[in-house]
Amino acid sequence: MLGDFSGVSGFGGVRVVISGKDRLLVEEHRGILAYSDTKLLLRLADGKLSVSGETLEISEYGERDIVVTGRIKQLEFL
Amino acid sequence: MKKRLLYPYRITGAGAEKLLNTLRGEGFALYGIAWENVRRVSFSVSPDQCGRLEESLQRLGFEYERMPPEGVMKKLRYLHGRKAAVAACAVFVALALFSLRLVWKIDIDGAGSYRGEINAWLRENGIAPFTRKSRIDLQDMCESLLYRLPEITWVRAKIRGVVLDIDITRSVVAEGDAFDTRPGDVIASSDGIVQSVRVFQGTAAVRPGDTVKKGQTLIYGYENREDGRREAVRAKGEIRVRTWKSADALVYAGKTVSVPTGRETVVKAFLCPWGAVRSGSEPEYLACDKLTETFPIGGAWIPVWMEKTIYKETALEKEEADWESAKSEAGRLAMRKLLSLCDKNDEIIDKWLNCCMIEGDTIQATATAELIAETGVFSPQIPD
Repeated sequence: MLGDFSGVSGFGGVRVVISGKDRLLVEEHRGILAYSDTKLLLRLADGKLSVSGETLEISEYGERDIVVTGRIKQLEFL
Repeated sequence: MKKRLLYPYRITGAGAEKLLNTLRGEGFALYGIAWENVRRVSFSVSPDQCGRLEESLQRLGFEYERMPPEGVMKKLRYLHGRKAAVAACAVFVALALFSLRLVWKIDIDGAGSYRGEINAWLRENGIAPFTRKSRIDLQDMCESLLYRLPEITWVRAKIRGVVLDIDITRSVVAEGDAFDTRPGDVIASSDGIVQSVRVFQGTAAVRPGDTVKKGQTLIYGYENREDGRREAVRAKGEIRVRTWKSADALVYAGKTVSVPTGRETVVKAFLCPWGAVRSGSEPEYLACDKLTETFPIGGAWIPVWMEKTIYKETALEKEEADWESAKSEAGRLAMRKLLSLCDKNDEIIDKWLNCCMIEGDTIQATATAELIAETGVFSPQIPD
């Protein structure tokens, strides 16, 4: 798992961990709604999470967790 | 992410997000998902999931391309079908293993001027870099070098990896007069009463109970032979005497203090960066205490200060000497000096302290120890 967390946020059962500007962990997500190298839209239990940035890559994608790397610019809960 | 063996895939088809979610739902763990364009995405899976993944991709109607594997598998795949490369690798491994059976370097440490002789011995016995380790008998090497070079006292040889280490310890000639064979007497280095006499060489000149003076001969530097001949030798022995050692210390017991006389003069001055105006001059007291206070008049913005100086006349007076503390301090000092004079082999029987006052309020303490100590120093004097 990730080592140092610069920010931890809980939102409707989901757990979002941002490490620096280039690593994001989302636990308890419900799947990917849209994905490109600049934007990732995740479905959550009660909403959506939009991740914007550059050269976004999903370094790990499992049943419960997703790890996004790249230059993360914006997170938005929808 | 933990480094692991992964097989990368490039997938082509519409709805990459749907595919990823489906694969996730089927229990696949996907790594390094990278978006290439709207119809193409790539990711990696662990080797045990490759077969099931390809079945799922075919079932879902996605085109896929299996990329060269990453990590060690990639290198092994590269070798597959390349017999020359495999043979080269095998030869390389065999050479590496063979080379580990050889000594590549010989380190000789501590040999100094004997290095050349040790190298000569190694050459004679065929030991050089690139000699097989199994040919080197370390124990025989140590024994042979010790026999061949009597000037060395210790040899340690060991093979450390591909290096043969030879550590040499050379003999050290004892310092002092151990090898001095000049004839001479042993004389007393201090006064005392002889307690014990042990003569190793020469003829005893004193017996236990004798009183000796400093410089008196204790052991004569000759020995009488059976044929009546007298042979000059170097006198050796151990003479212990009951003797005394003392040390002195002087401490000044008096004390001088300054006492205010009651007379004082106050001098005020106005100061600015360009000069000063004073209300008086410094008094001509022989001794005085001086107290100065400075007050800013205009605050921080106007650089003008008032300085008030108080001169209090004082007189130097002698106070009664504290004899007890001075005696105590002098005693401690004298005792410390005395102990520094004693040798570690000296056996102290008794010690005491005498104090007296000498001229000028000074205390003199004398510490004396009665002890049994070894006396006797060699005097290179040829006997008659």
